Amino acid sequence: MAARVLQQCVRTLARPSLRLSAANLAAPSAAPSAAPHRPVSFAADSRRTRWLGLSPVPSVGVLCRQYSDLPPLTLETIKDRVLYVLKLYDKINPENLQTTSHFMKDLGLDSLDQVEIIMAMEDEFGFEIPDGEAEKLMTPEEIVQYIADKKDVYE
Amino acid sequence: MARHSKLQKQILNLYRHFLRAGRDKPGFVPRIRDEFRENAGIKKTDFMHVEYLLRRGQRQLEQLRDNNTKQLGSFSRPDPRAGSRDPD
Repeated sequence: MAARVLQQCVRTLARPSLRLSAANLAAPSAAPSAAPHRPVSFAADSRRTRWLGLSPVPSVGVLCRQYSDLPPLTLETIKDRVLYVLKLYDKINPENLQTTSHFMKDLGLDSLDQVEIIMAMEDEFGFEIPDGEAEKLMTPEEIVQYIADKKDVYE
Repeated sequence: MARHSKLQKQILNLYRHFLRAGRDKPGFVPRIRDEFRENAGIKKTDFMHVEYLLRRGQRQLEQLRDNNTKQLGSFSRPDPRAGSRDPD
C-alpha cells in the first residue's frame, strides 16, 4: 500500500507535464470518441503507464519518503556513549572516570552496581548481554571492546 | 574478588531478573535496590541465611512477574534520631 501512495505522489507531481503531452497528442488526432471532455486522466492513464515504464523516477520517489537506519557505530561513538551512561550513574564520580578505571578497584563499586551498569548498557545499545560474559566486564574499555565485538565494528 | 562463587552468581542473576521485571512497574526498583543492598553485608559463610533469602527472592520474583501486580508503595518511618521535635 505504501507503494501505491508513492505512485500517487509521483503521479501528482508529474501531472502537469503529462497534461501538456496529452494535449499535444489529442489535438491532431481526429478521433472524437476519446473526446477532450474525457478527463485528462483517461489519456493520461495510457500516457502515464507508458511514461512511467520508460523512465523510472528515482529522484521524485526520494522526495516523497525517506527511510533511515540507526547511525553507524564506530569505536569512538561507542566509547562516548558508554562514558555518557556511566556519568549519568549516580554512584560514579565523573571526575575520576576514565576508560581504564576498574569498577571495583578504582571506582569502589560492588557487584550489584556492576549488574546495574551492564543493564544500563544493554538498554543503551539495545541488545542483551548474557550473564556469563556480563560479569567479566569490569572496565569501560572492556565494555567498549565487547560491544564492538558483538556489533562487528572494526577500526 | 576475581571469581564469584555459585551462590553469588545466583544472587546476581536474581538481581538482574528483578530489575528487568520491575522496570515497567512503578515503585519497585528503589525497593529492590535497597533490599539487595541491605542484605549484601551478610557474611559469605552464613550460607543458610543467604540461601533462605535467595528462595524468598525467587518467590517474590514470581509474584512481581504476575500480571496482576501493578505497583508498589511503602511507608517510611521518619528517623527518630534526626533531632527530637515534638509535633505540638
